[in-house]
Amino acid sequence: MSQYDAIIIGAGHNGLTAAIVLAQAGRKVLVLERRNAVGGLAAGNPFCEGYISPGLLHDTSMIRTSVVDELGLAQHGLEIENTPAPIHLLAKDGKQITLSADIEATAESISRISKTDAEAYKAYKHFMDHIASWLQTLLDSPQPALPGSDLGQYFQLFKKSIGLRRLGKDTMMELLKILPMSVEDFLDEHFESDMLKAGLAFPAIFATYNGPRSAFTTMNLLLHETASLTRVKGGPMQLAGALEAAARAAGVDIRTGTTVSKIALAEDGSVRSVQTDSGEEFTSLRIGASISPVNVFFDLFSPYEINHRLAAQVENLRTRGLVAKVNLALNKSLDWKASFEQPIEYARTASSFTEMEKAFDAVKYRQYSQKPLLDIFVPTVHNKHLAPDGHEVVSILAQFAPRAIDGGWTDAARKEFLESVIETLAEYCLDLPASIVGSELLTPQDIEARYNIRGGHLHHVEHAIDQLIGRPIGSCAQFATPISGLFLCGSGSHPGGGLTCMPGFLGAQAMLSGKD
Amino acid sequence: MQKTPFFPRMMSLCESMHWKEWAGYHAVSSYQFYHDQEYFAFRNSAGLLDVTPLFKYRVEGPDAADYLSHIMVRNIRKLKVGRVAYLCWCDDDGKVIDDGTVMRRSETSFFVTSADPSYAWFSRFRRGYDVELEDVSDKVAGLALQGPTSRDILRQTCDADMDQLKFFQTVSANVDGYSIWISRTGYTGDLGYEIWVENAHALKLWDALMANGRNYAIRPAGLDALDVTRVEAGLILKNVDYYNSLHALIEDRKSSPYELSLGWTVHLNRAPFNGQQALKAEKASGSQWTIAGLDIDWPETEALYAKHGLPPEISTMAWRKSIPIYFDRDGAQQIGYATSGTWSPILKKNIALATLQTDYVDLGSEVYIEMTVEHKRQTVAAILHKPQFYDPERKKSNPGLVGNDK
Repeated sequence: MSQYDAIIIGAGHNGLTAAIVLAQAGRKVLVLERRNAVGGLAAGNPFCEGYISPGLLHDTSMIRTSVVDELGLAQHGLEIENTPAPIHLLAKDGKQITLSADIEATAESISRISKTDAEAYKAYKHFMDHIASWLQTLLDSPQPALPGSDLGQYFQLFKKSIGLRRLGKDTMMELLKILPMSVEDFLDEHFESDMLKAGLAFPAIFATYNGPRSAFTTMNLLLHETASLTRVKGGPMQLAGALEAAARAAGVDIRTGTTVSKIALAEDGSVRSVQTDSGEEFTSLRIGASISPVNVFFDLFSPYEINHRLAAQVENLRTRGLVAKVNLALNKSLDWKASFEQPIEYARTASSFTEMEKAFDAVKYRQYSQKPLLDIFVPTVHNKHLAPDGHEVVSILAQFAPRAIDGGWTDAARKEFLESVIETLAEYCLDLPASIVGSELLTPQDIEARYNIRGGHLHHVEHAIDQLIGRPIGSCAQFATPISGLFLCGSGSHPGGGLTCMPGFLGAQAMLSGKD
Repeated sequence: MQKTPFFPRMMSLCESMHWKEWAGYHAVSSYQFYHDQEYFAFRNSAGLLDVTPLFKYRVEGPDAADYLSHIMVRNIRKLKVGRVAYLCWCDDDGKVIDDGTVMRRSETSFFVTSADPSYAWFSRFRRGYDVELEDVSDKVAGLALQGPTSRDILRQTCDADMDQLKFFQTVSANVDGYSIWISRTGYTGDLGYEIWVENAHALKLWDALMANGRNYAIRPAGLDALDVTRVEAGLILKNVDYYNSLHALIEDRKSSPYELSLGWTVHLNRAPFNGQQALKAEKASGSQWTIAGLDIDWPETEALYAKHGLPPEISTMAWRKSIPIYFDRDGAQQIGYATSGTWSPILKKNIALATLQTDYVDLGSEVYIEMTVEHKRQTVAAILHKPQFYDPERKKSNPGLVGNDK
C-alpha cells in the first residue's frame, strides 16, 4: 500500500492539469487512469489501419493560456497560438464565410453574402470584446459560493457584480436583457443572413439539450465567443502529450490501465484510500476526481456512504449525451465545393435556424437527427502523421445523436446515422464517398462505454443555466465535496466545457488550500 | 375511514361503541364501558387486539440487510434469520422519525412495522441497492395476542413449536390450511405475540383464536387497556412521548434515540447509516434529555385531597398530556415534563413517563410533579424510576424448553 499526498482519478486533460499543479507545489501525486493511454477526451485513437483520430474533443480554442503558462507546457512541446483557428461556415452552393480573429477579414468574408451583416459583425464583435474580460474572470476563478456561505465569498460575489457594473450601465442592461434570450432571437436582432446566423449560433447549442429557439442559449454563445482565444498546433493530442510530459517531469506517478473501484473512507467519514479492481490500495487524504461527478458518487462509494440529499442532487444532474463522433479515413485530401486558398482545419455546417431546430426536434422524441449538424475538424492539415502520405483524417462531432433513442442504437440505426453524416458532409464536398476508406462512429453510448462517462456527455454534465451556476451542484461548486478530502476537478466541476484545463487547475488549487 | 378485516367481529363484540381513529382505521377503544376487564385479560389471561392499522412493509432482495442497515439505527446485517429487532430510525441530524420492528424472515426477506406511513422515507434510500420495497399495510392484517395464556392459545391454534419461540423471535406457521407468521413481540410488556396474516384469512384466524382461547379466558381488548399496559412497561408512544422529527414544527420537539432512552437500539460504530455523524457527536458530548419513569407518591397525593376533605380522585384511564416536573417542591425550577401516565392496577402505583433534563436524572431521587386539586396547582413528590415498571419473568421465559435453552 503506497502513500501519496494526493491521488487524481482520471488522466484526461483536467486530471493531468490537476496533477501537475499539485506536483509543482511539492506534493507526491499519483494519477490513476482506467484506459491504457492518458489524455482522456484529448487523446488520439487509432481507428482504422494506418489512421489515427484526434481527440474526441477537437476544439482547442478555449484552452486557458494562463494555465498553459503556469504549468510551463511550452517547455514540453505545446505550441499554442493566441488566436483561435479560422472557422469556415459552409453553404451547399459552395459559398462560405470565414470567421477568424481578424475582424476586418471576417467582415470582408461576410460582405460577400451581406454588406449589412459585415458592418453589423464589427459592432457585434465590439460588444463581445467589451464583455469578454468580465466573462473571462468568471471562467478563470472558482465559482462564488451561493448565499449561505461565509462572508469572504459574499465579498467575491459583490466584487464580481461591481465588475459587471464597470461595463457601463448600457452594457450591463443589454447583458441582463440578452442572457435569457434564445440565440435565434438575439442574432436576429443583429444580422440578416441565415447562413451567418446559423454558423455563429452553432457553438451555442453544441452538446446542449437545446435548439436555437431554446431560452438561455445566448448565454452559451457569449461564453463561447468570449472564451475562444487560442489554438493548439496539431490539435488536442498535442495538448495531451504536453500535459503527460509535464506531469512526468514534475514527478507525477501515472498508472494507466488501472481502474479505481472504490474510494475508501476512514472512521470519521473522510477519504482514506482508493482501491483498484485488481486489489491494489493507495492511501491519500486528498483525492481529486476528474471523472464525471455522477460516476464519482455513484460508482466509487457504497450507497450508504452518500447522504440521500447529495444522492438526490447527483441523481437529478442531467447528463444526456447528444453528440456522436464520426472519424473518417480518406485516401486523398478533402475536396471542398467552396474554394479555399489553403487547406482548412475547422468548418461548420447548418445553413439556417430552421435546419438546426429541426435537427434538435428529433431529440425531444428520442430520435437522432435525420439531417445532423456537423462540427468538422481536419487534423491532417497540420498533423500529417495521423494518416498515410496524402491521405486525410476527418473528425466530425455530429449532433443530435441522443444516448437514449427509441429502439436503441442497433446496427441498423448506427448505419443510418453514419450514412446521414457522410451524406451531409458530401453536400459540401466533391467526390467524398468514393474517397472514404474507413470510418468510426462513436455514439454517446459508445463514448459512455469507452470513457466511462455516465450518459456519454462530452462535458460530463450538460451545460444549462441551472447546471452552470453552482456547477455541478451547490455543495460541490467550489471543488470540495461534502465528503472530506474528496475534490472534483473535471469538466463537470466548472463552467466552460470542452478543453479549457480550468477545472483541473482550479480544482488542484482548492486541494492545495483545503485544510487537512 | 377504513375498516380492518376484523371489523365485523369487533363490531358485534363492541358493546360500549367506544371507537377511535387509528391511522385511518376504526379501532376499538374498549369493548365494555370500562376497560379494566380487558386490562386484566392482558395481565392475567389473554387479550386479543387488532393491530392492523400499523404500517407494514415487505423489504426483499439480496441487498435488503444493507439497505435496512442504512436506514435504521441498528445494524440489521447482524440480525439473525428468525429474529426481530425493536429499533428507531433517524433523519440526517440524528433525530428520531419513528420506532418500530424489523423481522428477518429469511436471509433476504424482512417485514417492517411502523407507526407512521414510511414508504416515502424508506424509498429515498433505494438507489444502489438490489431491493424491493412494498407497502403491505392494507394486504396484511395483524392481531396482538398478549397475556400469560397467549402461548397456550397459539399452541392450540397453529403448528408452530411455541415452546421454542423465544422473546423477539419470529416463525411461520400454518392454521387449517393457511399460513401466518408470529412474532413474540407486543406493546404490553408481558408474554405475548403478534400474529400476521393475509387479509383473506384474517377472520378465520380471529375465529380460531377466540374458539381456542375460550378455555384460556381470552377476551378482545381495546386501545384503552393497551395504553395502561404500555405505560407500565415503559414503552413510549409517538405523538405522545415524542414527535416524528419529519413532522415536528419546531426543532425543540425533535428527539434523538438517546433522549428517548433508546440508546440501546443504536449500533453506532459500523458502516454509515442515517444520522450516524450526529449520533456519534451526541454520544460523545452527552444528551440534553432522558426519558425516565415517575413513581408518584401516594400518601402525599392522599394528603393533598384530604386538605379539601376529599378522597384521592384518580382516573382509571391512562392519560397523555404534558405536566411540568420540578426540581424543588415549590415549583421554582422546572426540569422537564411528564408526557403520559396511569394508575397501575397491578402495581397499585400512580406512575408516569417523563422527559427530563439528563443532569437531573438520578434514579431513586425525588422530583416534584404538578398536580391540580380543586382548581389549585400544587406539587407532589415522585421517585425517579427506570421507565419500565412492570417486567414479569414470563415475558422472556420459555418454560417448555429444557436445560440451558430456557
